Amino acid sequence: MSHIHLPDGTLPLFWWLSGYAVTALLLFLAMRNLQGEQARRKLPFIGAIGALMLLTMSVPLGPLPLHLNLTVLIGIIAGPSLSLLTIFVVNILLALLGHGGITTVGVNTLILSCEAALGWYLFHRLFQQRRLAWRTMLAAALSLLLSITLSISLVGASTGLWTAALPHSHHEELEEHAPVTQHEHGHHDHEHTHELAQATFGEAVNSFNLWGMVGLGGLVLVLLLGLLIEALATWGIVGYLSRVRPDLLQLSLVE
Amino acid sequence: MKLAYIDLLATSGQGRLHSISTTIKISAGVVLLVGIIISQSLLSIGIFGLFLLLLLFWASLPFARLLSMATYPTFFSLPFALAQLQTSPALAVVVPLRAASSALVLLILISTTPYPLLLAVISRVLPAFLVDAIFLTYRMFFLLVGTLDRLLLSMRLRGALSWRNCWFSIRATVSVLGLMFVQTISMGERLHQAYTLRGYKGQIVCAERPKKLILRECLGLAVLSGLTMGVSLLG
Repeated sequence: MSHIHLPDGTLPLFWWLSGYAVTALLLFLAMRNLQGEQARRKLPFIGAIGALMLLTMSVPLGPLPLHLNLTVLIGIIAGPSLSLLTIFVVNILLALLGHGGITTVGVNTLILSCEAALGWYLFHRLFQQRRLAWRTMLAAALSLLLSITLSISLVGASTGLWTAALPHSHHEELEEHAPVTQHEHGHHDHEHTHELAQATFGEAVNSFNLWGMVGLGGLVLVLLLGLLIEALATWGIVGYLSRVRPDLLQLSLVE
Repeated sequence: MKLAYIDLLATSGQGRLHSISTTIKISAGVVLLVGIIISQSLLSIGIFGLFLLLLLFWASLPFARLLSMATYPTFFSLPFALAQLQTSPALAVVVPLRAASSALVLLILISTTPYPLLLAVISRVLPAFLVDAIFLTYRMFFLLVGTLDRLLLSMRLRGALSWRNCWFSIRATVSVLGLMFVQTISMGERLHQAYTLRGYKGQIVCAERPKKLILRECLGLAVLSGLTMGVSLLG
C-alpha cells in the first residue's frame, strides 16, 4: 500500500470535482489511442491485470489495512495509458465495495496513475542501462515515494494543515507591536513586550495543529512501511518474470 | 474486501431491497450520498447513520459483516479527522462517520443489486469500453480467486506460509505472485480469442430487463430526497 484510499466526505467539493475533470480528460486521451481491433485486443488485458490488482488488494498484510497493489508493476508492463484505464476501473470497483470513496475515484486514480507512469518511465527510460534488480528497486521506490508525497500533500493541503503548521502571522503581529511599545514606553514596556512575546508564542503553540500533525506523521509511517513491502514485492516479481516471461517486461516498448 | 461474498448477497438475496428497480436504487444512493457529504453536524450524520442501520435490518442484510466492511474507510479518514480535532471536535467525529456512512450506502446498493444490472445503468453514463473493462475485471477476479486458492494450497503442502520457514515462505509468495501474473496475462489472451470467436464487436450487452417504474417506488424516492435534504441542512 503506497497511497490512501481517500474516502467520501474528506475532500472539499473543488478538489474531488477537479480530480474527476482531469481524470476524464486523461481517460479520453487514453481511449482515443485505442480504436477498433486494438481496443478489442487490449480489453481482456486490462480486465486481467485489473483483476490481479483487485486480488492483491484484497489480501491484508497484518492488522493494519496494508496490502500490495502492484501499481508500479502494472505501469512497467502495461505502460502509462493502459495502466490509467486499469487503475480507473479498479478504483470504481473498489469504491463500490466501500474501499475508497465514489467521489474520490478521480483523485485516487490520478495519484495511482502518476505512480504507474513514473514507474514505467524510470524502468524503461531513465534507468534502462542499469542492472535489472537496481532498475526495478529504484523505479518502484521512487514511484511509490511520489505517490506518498502526493497523498500527504493532498491531505495537508485539503485540511489546511500546512498553513496551521506555520504560525507566521503571529510573528508578524509581534514585529508590528514591538517597535512601537519600546520607543514609547522605554524599559517598563520592554518587559511588557517580553510578556506579549511569550503570550504570542503560547498562542502560536496552541494554534499549531498538533493532532493533525500526529495523524499525518502516523500516516507517513504506515505509508513508508507500505513502500518497503511494495518495492520488495515488485523487485521479486520482476525477477521472476525476467526468468519465466521476459517478453512481458518489454510489452510496453513493443507497443 | 469480500467481493465474492457481496456478489453472493446480490445474486441470491431475497430481501426487500432486491426487488426494487436498479434505477430507483441508484438514484436513492446518489441522494443519500449527497446528503451525507454535505452534512456538517453530528446530529445530521447521526440521523443518516441510524437510517442506514435500520435499512440494513429492513433489507435483511447481514448486519455485522457489512458494518465491519463499512468501518474500513474510517482508518483513512483519521488524518482528516485529527486535523479538525483542535479547531472543531464535532467535525472531527463527523468526518469518519461521513466516510463510514457513505461506504455503507454503496455496500447496501451493491449487496442488493447484481453487477450486470448495475453496469447496465452505469453504461448510460460511461463509455462502452470502460463498462466492458469493468465487466471483464469483475469476471476475471472470480477466475483468479480459484487459481490463487489452488496455488496457496500447493504452497502449504510444500511447507510454505509458516513462521518456521520464513525466508522460504517469502520467496514462495513472490514466486506465486509472479506465476499469478503470467497466468493472468495468458488468461486475458485466451479470453480475447474466445470473445473474437463469439463475434465480440466492442460492446458486451448487459441490459437490464425493462421494468415499469412503480409509482410507489418513485414516491418513496421523492420522500427520501425531501427528507435527506431536510436532515443534511440540520445544524
